[in-house]
Amino acid sequence: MNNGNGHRKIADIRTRWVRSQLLRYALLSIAVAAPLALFGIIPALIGWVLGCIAQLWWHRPWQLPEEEVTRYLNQAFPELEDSTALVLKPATDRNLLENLQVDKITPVLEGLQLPARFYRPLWQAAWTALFMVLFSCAWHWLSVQVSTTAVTLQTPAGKTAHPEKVLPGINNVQVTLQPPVYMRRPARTQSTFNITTPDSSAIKWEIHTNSAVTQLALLFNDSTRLPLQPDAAHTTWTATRTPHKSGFYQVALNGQLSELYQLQLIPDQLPVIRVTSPQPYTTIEFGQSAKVNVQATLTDDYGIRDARISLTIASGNGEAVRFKDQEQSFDNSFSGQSTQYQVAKTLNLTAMGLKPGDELYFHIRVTDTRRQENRSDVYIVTLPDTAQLFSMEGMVTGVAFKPEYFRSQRQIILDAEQLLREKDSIGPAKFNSRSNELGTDQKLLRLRYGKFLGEESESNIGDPRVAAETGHEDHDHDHHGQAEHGAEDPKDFGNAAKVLDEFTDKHDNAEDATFFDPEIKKQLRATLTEMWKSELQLRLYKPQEALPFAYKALRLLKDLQQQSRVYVAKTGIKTTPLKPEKRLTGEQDKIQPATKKETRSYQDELLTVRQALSVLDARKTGDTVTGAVILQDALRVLATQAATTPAVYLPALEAMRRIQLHKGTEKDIRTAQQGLQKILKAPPLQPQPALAPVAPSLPQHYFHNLKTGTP
Amino acid sequence: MTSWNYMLLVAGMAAAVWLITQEIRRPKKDRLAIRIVATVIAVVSLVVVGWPVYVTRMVQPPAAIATTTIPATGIVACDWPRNISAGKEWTVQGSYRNTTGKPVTLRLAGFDTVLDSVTITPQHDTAFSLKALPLHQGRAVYRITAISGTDTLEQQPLPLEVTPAMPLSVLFLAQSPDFENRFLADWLVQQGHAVAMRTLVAKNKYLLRFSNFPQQSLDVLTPALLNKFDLVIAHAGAIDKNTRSRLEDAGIGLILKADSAGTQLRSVSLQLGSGRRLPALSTDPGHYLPAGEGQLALVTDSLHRAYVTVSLAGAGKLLRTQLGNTYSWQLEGHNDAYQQYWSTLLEAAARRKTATEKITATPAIVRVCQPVDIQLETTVSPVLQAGGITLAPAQHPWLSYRYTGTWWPVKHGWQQIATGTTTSWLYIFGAEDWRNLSATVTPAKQTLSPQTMSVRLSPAWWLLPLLLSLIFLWWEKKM
Repeated sequence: MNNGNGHRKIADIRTRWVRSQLLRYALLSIAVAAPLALFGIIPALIGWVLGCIAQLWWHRPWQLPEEEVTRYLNQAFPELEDSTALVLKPATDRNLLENLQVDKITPVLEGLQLPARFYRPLWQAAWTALFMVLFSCAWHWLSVQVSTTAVTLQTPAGKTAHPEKVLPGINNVQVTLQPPVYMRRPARTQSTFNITTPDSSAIKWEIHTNSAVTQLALLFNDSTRLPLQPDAAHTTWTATRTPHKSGFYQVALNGQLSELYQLQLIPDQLPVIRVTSPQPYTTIEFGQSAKVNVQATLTDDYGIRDARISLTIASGNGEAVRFKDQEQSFDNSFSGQSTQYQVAKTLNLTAMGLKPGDELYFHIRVTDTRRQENRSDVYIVTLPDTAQLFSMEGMVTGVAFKPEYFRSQRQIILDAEQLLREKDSIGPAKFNSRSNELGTDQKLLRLRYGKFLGEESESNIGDPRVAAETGHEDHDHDHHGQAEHGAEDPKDFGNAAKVLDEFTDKHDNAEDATFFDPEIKKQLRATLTEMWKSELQLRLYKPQEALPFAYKALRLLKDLQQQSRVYVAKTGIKTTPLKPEKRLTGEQDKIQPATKKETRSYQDELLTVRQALSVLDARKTGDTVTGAVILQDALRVLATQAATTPAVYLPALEAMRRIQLHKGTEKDIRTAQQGLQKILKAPPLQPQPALAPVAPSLPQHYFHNLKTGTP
Repeated sequence: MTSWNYMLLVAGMAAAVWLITQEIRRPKKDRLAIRIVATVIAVVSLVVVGWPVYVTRMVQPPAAIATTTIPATGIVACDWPRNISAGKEWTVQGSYRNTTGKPVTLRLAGFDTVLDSVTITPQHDTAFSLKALPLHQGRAVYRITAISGTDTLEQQPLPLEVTPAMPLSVLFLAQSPDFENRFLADWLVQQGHAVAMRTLVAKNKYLLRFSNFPQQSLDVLTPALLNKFDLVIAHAGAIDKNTRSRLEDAGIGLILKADSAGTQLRSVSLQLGSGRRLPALSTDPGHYLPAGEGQLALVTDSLHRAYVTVSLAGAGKLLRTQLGNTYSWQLEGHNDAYQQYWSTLLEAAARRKTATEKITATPAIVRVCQPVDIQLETTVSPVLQAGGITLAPAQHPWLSYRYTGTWWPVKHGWQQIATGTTTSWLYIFGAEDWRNLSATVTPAKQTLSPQTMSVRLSPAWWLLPLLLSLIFLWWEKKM
């Protein structure tokens, strides 16, 4: 079937067409995705997939009809005589003429070679994709190049800024820095002479010379000489040293000295202790839990070896005070020797034998891996002795400072404790009502103290009539009320002033408000706050919880009482009468007052450095003669400074040396001046007299003539 | 070339091309070359008529009636002490004229270290004051630099000589021992000053102290004894009238301390006359001193009540102070304030140091190869050597101790000026230093030479070749 062959050929061409279309879309999507690849692989993939889908959805290449292919063939190949469509027609439907035409073109169709033009869109797509890929690569390379140059421009490293000069004979150097074992840091090798390394590192120099030399040594600033050991060929020299102080050194090659190289040691810092809990001074009130939670953060630059907590318990008072020391370790294990630890320890004070009235002092001791020890501040925990608060010592003697109020607070505490003891026997209803009553008492007491601060009370507590109406028995104030009752006079009936006085709201009375000094007022206010809290707990039927606040209020009141007793008025001084005729008549012949004599010359120890600055300034203009001695002294000062901090002063020291050898350039002078300036601080301010005009000056003549009155 | 010129050019070329082709295509080929040339001339002339052509012409400018100057920019005024003693603050003051649109930073630098800086706002004349504590001793050249962005606009040298401090000799006369005298004497002795102290401890019994001063009797204050001191610090009751008149005659300063600081002590914040604030001191504000009428207030409080005043007393100075507990500053660690306070007081009162010779140079900015007048004040025979050249100074007609001479320095930098007894140093500036200090600058060269001006050529000139060529073409057609 010739016919079938022609049809197969068309189907074949269609398949190629579809395939090339698909490939083209893939390539175009690559062209889209390539710039997106600059943002990462994920955006590129998403872009590619989206590009493919969009093009497929738009063009739908798989729906290509075969008629389209025949139309293309008819246009592209004239030899097909515009009859390709006939091939697709079923053989039965063709007429004779059509059959003849099909037979004629079928061989042509079969021998058809698709032209290069057929694949041109594909090539175009391929070129586009290639261009975009290359463009993206170039862009990426450029941006990397720019950013790296920017970085290198931004960080002109100190070492590269000042390249070290090496003696001509030396080929290269390997300096191996081995930090001490406890630091657990790996050894480091560098090929420069300037050394910055942790303290106590072992330093190994390995110097390669380009020809055999007879002698090679290192000269240190403490004037020690370290000869290097040669190998057989006398070209590789080695030496090892463990310095413990910063400084600088030189290389001596056959007597020829190099420039100075710095040797900077970074010291191992002491461990740092930060105690987060408890507060530096903690008071544990009666009834609170007698446990102290100690929390601290320990840090060190290389590692912590051990940490302990040192405790001192002080008990007793006066001369009978006793101390007991003990040391406890934390629960953490320090075997890891890491650089940071969070340590915690709960101190059970009762288990440690602390009784009320005792104090606990503790501090934390930390040892780092270098066995350097550091200790924290001392923290104090106090267990106050409540028994002392009840002592009448303060009340009986001295000034009576409203004692009835204090007794009342103590009474509330005693009653509350009694109530707690009787809790089981009296039943909850009675317990609650008594607790509430205690709360009322506490409130009344608070209101009384509030009056001292000029506070307003909602029920006139001092008022006897109110007390009579409520029938409240305030034992402490009964006599008060009665006395006032007694003072009431029938004649006052209808006395408007008195009635007004009783019922006027005289709040914020200036007299009341300034009754105490601010410090006492502050403490009173703190007392009132504690009373508030105590009342709250009592009203909630929790006398146990109220007790700590009540105790604190009592303690504050006690302090108040002590404070107000500081003032002791002095009365009744009797002195012997003076005899005026005897005054200032004592014999003083044999008294020889002391004569103090001293000579102290002021010497500015940095004077030579100050002068050297000026001498160097003169050298800039070419004066190389003066000040050689001053420069020598300044060089010595600079050398001692450079030994301690070589990184700062070493360039200046070298510049000074070159200047001394008359080899210094202007740049050296500047470097030396900058180094010298860093040593100096401003000289002390001294009074200086002004300069007078030359001796027989006009003003002097004038003054003289005024004085004598003669012209 | 404006767009008009382009249009003209294009139109002209198009016309030329069209006309030439017309000429070539003409059947009659006679005189083709001449016709083409004539056509070109016509078109070119036509174009040039519309094209403005300028010619340069020499013009003699009118002679300037007055020499014009332009205001200088940059540092237009600047002054600084050329010579200070060690420890003193050094102030450079001046004025900067910024005519640029950008802020300018002025930097004071010594030995490549920036010591102080100030920013000048654009388009402003701003006065500046830069301060530094010089670290060196001897002669050095500091620099003031004007910088805008990264450009250095101006850099000028500031020569400065720092001389070592001269010690004072102070006599203390006290009626009773007190901390104030003790601390002050200790501080002075530490600095190397000479101190003698006489403190009354009992009737006719004195406690004596000699520090850096030879021991001698202080019972009778003779003029010869007093003359050894620059300054006397005394309680009002410890010094009698005769002694005071002797001090006034000799020009020796006297610091009189109040016997009582008052009863109602309060903390008062004080400040020095220079505006520097001092830490608070407890004193009685009721006991302030009257100022004005010859009394200059040195230390005042915030209400300008004076606590230390100074006045002239004969040839010397009389300084009264109401503050008797400044030692508390030292105890509180305010050492700076203490030094500042007492330096101010002692300097105000101390006898002026007599000099045998004094040299002044005018102008202030001495430039190389410019004459400088050197004035010498001396009581001995005048000898003056400047930069190795012996000058012959002329005596002043009325002031017999004053001599002047003119010197032409040939080298810049520090130059030595030697007299019979002393040598001093004068900085000679370079020719280009401090050019802007004379508030106006004459422009570099007045252009008095004839100027070239460009004048437009009249277009009528071009009509002539146009007409000639057109006439030729018309005539040729008729032939």
